[in-house]
Amino acid sequence: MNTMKPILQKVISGVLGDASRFPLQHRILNATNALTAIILMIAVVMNSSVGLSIWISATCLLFAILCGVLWYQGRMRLMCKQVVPFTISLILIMEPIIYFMGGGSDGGILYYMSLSIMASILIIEPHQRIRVTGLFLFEITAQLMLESVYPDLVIPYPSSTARVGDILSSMLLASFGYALGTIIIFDNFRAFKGRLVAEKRRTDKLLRSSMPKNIASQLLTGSRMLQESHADVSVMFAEIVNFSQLVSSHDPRHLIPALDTLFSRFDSMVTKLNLEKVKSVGEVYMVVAGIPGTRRDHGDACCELAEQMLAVTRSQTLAGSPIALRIGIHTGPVTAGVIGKLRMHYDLWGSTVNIAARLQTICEPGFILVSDTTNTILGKDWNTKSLGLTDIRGVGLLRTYSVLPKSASLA
Amino acid sequence: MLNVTNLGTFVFVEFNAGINAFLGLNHELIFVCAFCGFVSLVLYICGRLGARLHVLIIPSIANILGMMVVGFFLNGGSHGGSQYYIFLALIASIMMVRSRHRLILGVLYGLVITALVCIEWYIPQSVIPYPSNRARILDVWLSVVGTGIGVAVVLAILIDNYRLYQRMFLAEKRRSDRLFRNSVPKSYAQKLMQGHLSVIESHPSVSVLYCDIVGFTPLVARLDPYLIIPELGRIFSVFDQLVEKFGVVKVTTVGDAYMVVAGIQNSRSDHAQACFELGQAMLRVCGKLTLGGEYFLVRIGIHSGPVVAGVVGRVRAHFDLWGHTVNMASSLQTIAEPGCICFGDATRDLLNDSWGLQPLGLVDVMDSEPMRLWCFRCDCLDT
Repeated sequence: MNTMKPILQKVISGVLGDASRFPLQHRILNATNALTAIILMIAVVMNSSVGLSIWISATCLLFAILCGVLWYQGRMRLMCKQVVPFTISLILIMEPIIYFMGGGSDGGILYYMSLSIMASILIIEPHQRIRVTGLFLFEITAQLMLESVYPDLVIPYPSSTARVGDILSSMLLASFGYALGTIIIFDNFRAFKGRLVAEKRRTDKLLRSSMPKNIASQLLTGSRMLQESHADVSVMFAEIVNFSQLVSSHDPRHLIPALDTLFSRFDSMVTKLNLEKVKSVGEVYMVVAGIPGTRRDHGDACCELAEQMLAVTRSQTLAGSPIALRIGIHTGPVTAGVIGKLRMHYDLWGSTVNIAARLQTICEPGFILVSDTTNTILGKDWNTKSLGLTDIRGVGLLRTYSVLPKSASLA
Repeated sequence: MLNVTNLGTFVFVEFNAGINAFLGLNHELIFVCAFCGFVSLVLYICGRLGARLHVLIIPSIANILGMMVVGFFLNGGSHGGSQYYIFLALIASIMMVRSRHRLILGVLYGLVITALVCIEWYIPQSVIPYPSNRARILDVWLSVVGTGIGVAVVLAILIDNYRLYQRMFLAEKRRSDRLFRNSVPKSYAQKLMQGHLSVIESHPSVSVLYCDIVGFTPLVARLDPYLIIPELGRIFSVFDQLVEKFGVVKVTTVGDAYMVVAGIQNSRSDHAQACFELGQAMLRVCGKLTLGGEYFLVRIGIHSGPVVAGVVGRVRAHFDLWGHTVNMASSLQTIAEPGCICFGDATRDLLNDSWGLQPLGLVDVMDSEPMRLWCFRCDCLDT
């Protein structure tokens, strides 16, 4: 069964044309022409074996050849629109001839009538549907009326054996045609449904990854306000000290994946503590606490994360080299959101951000430096050591505190 | 799909029962039609009330097939009209069952058809004939036309849905591709699309440009951020257009700083020149823009050298650069005077012409040994 599959696929794409080059409509046209030709050829063999008149066989053979030519035209050239009217008119002309030659309403051709309607629906444009279906229904009605009024027009079967054989083969072949058409369309429909869902998930994931949920949903609904102000949040910057020296001394193919692993670990810590990663800029990792919603303990949460990050870097090396973080935290108002068109991503603005970044640059490696504002909102279980007033460029004098490790303060 | 089939069968069959009564066909047939129609209605109600699909499929198919078989014998056999509906039933069944059960379904239908024809052939008296040839032809006509319309409607709905989903899929794909391309440069997007899990490239010689808006932070503190941040967005959008015009790559924005790299795509050798020209264009364009109702100035730093580029992190993953060159460009930007481009010898040596550059002499940058720096001042600012 498994060895059959590739062969079957090869045969199908050989008959219908390659799925990447031919649209579905065109492939169905090819299938219609090929299937009609095959059915007619089978009819030729069947008819001569059950002893029907030679004329029916000859007519079937003629139409089979014509269908073969149409299939060849559709298969070899990329012109679907020109072949469709020929295929439909061929079927329309062929059917009444075979109808009256082969037993009329008692015969096998009637089973193919709705199959030809089905094939036409699939290969024509939507606005032609009613016209073409009407044409077929008119033809059926005319045939049956003619038969009813002039029964002599119909050439009956020579024997009832011939009739049963013809009917059985017609019903089975027609069923095959119906099943094939339905399966092709239905499977393609389901495939696109599945791919649509997958693609929607991908869009969602991309958006969620590049910005927080509330901003992403605003972007999806087309809202123009993609920025929001927050009065009281804590911003944390953590930098890997001397990372650019590591870049020049290590193979980037080892170093950057190691950085990726480290940042991914930070990411899961951030998610666990219910904080929001803003982004990473080079070797700097930026986090905000207090967005979205109003949490009171954003200072504590930031210090908790900083402590955990320091613990990770103490116990781990980056591509074989020991690393240290310096961390700065400041509390205050920020504006958060998304701007720009190219490389659009989530960001924060305001002096709170600049002060936090500045605190990080003056912090000693392996320590956490917080501002006066952050220090006052820290919970009782955090011990800090005042470092006095520090001159911060662009801001002035600021009282800074070093956060003591929790384990040390307990001992 | 099952619900539609059952409801459709109910309506169709009850309609058929009426037609049959009108045509004067035998009463058994009318009774069977009415009964099977009733079963379809019950199945439809069960389906509507939330019964499981796989529980209802087999009774539904059995109901339709059973009706077809009884109708076949009661209604003229292969001379009559019932067997045409077998095709409609086949189409409906294919859409209801799972793909792996299709073969079983096909064999079942094949067997039913063969059995019907064979039984009629060997036991002709099992078939009740039509009262008249007129009635027979009328019934055949109704059946063929009914099947034709049924097939046309079902397939038209199906192919319309197919086209609709195809369109929706293509639109969604365009959207997610756009988002994806938004987060990484084109060359990286192509590589990631081709299935590379992570793309890390080390580039021996590129130029990095940092551009920072002078006095932005005090402005945010003074003015309404709701007003000022969208204006910053507009300025960055203008920069985005310049970046595309000069064929360089935007890396990211950091607050009010804008970061660009040249030379990572198709390893162009004129990357320093491209960055320098982009810097000049940025200075010129800033002379025409305002921020919070005031004119503003930018500081630009450029440095050339090796960088490593790639994408890291699980959350907020984006394209980024690492290396000494990046930090140098950022530091040179802080040294630059407002309205100036500042760079060192590494960049100046790569420029086509160094006309109009002011030497700044030896300056300490980032705790390293003193560097000879150059400054370009935009003359458009004087006017």
